[in-house]
Amino acid sequence: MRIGLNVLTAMVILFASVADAQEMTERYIPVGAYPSLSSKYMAAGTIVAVDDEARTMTLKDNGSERSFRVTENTKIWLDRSGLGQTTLDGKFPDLATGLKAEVRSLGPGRLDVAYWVKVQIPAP
Amino acid sequence: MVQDLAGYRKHLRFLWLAGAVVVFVALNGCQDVRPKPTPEQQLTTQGRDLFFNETFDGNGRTCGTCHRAEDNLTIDPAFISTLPDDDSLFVAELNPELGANFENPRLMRQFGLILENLDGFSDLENVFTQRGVPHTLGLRTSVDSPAGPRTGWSGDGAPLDGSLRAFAVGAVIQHFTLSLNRVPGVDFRLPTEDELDALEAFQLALGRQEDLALPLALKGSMATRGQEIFLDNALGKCNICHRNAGANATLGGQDAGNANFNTGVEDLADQPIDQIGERVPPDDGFGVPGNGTFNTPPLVEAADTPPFFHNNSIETLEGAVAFYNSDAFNNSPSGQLLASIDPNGVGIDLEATQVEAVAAFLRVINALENIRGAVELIEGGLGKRFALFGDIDEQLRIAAFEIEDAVKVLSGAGLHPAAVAQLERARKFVVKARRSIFRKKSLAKESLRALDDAKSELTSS
Repeated sequence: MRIGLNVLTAMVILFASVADAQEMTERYIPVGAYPSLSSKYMAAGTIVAVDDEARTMTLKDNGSERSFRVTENTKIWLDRSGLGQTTLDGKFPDLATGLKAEVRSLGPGRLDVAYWVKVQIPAP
Repeated sequence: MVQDLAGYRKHLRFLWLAGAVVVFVALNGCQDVRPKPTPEQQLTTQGRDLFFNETFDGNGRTCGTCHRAEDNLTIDPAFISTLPDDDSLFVAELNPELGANFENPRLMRQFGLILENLDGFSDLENVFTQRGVPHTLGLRTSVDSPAGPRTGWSGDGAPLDGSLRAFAVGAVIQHFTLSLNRVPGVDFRLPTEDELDALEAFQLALGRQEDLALPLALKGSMATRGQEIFLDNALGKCNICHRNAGANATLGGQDAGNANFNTGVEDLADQPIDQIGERVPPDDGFGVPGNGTFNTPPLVEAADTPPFFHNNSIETLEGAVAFYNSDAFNNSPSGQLLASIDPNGVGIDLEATQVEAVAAFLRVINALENIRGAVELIEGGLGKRFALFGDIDEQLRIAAFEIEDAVKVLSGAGLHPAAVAQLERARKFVVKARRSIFRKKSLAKESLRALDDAKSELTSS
């Protein structure tokens, strides 16, 4: 019985680890709006490098850099709240150096894979 | 003439004395002497005002639109039916911008269901869920898990770090928007960090601040037997996932906190919503795509917050307990796992009498919680403790709802008529206290005595 319950505990924790929040409303939260609420699986900064071939992007924040793989399943969102317009779905070419961006990774064990990337479209 | 003057003076003195007595009694009845609130209490009060009044420049809804103080910080079809048509709950019927794919008014009015886009906003017509409104009572005891905070029906109700503090951010985006464009600064404003602090403080102050310590010394035989079944890990097995009738699990001897389980509610046959021909996609629970699991709610507050489960599929408490006898549960991952660790390979299998006993236990602990809550509210109104809902009248108003709920959950199953009689007395005193100018406090104190008597009928502890 103890083994079964240990398995159940492991399942509960595993279930709990694949995602840790209601990601979908994050689409509409402006980039960097809530630094104090950032998940441990999230990162924000400025895009300093994009590798089209490897499909990676690198964020720089306060001197430290983190790279993320952008897969076909990664959601890319164009945050146009600064323009007073709704968020749009984007594509890999929209990830341009110099743009502010935020990334949520896939979580434990896949911290270098982007679950979503949100880039801020600056006002003209 | 001299005699007349002396009589007049005597009469005047009497009038003065009578007036002074009236003023003294009135002041005694109305005086609101409270200690200076602590910074935490000030934050909680600010949070209360935001919760019930702040629209965040959106469609008119507040947190309190769906989490009503009069309805246990939730909302159900019976309560919805009492609301005027221009209530902000019905904004989808009032604002053409929200006429499609924001809410389903029929499901809202008939079943108390609210539309959520938990799996994304890219296909509003086809990708959505319909869920009941979870109450916000006892959150202090029902959010933490080893893997992080768990909020809402599937545990992933809050964006960002998933915390209760972040919950309002997602709620404003989902439910407060003026249009489906959901542009911050245009369709709503997002809560500030300070507002999130205050909202969190208020929500954490609602209801129980700690879990029960079972077993309780209950007086009724039905509830006592129900408690035994509840705590029996070989029979009711309830305490495995609802430790002390709360929202936290103990698995393999470890505290699993507020855990998620797939209990098969989605697989129940003949759900009410299926009978009316509305197309509602299956709810896949936690995550995107969902893993089919839902978060464990506390049970202490269950009896007076029907309907039950994430989709409001079960109306009665007895039905909710009986669900765990069903094929839907016993064939679910959770049911199968319970069966795999049972010496006889049984998930949960209770007789009808045992179902009623467990429900009786849940009704009694709910009534005890109603009494505890009402006492706290009345004492808050009397200035003996922090008044969460404000002035004495509002404290007494909410206390009356708590007492009514206790009457309903006990009398709904014919339990403890003597306690019900005391609760009725307590409610009458509260109603009279609210109306009284001169005897407000003394009547409120009478209600406290009646509540104590009611509690004594339910438990000897």
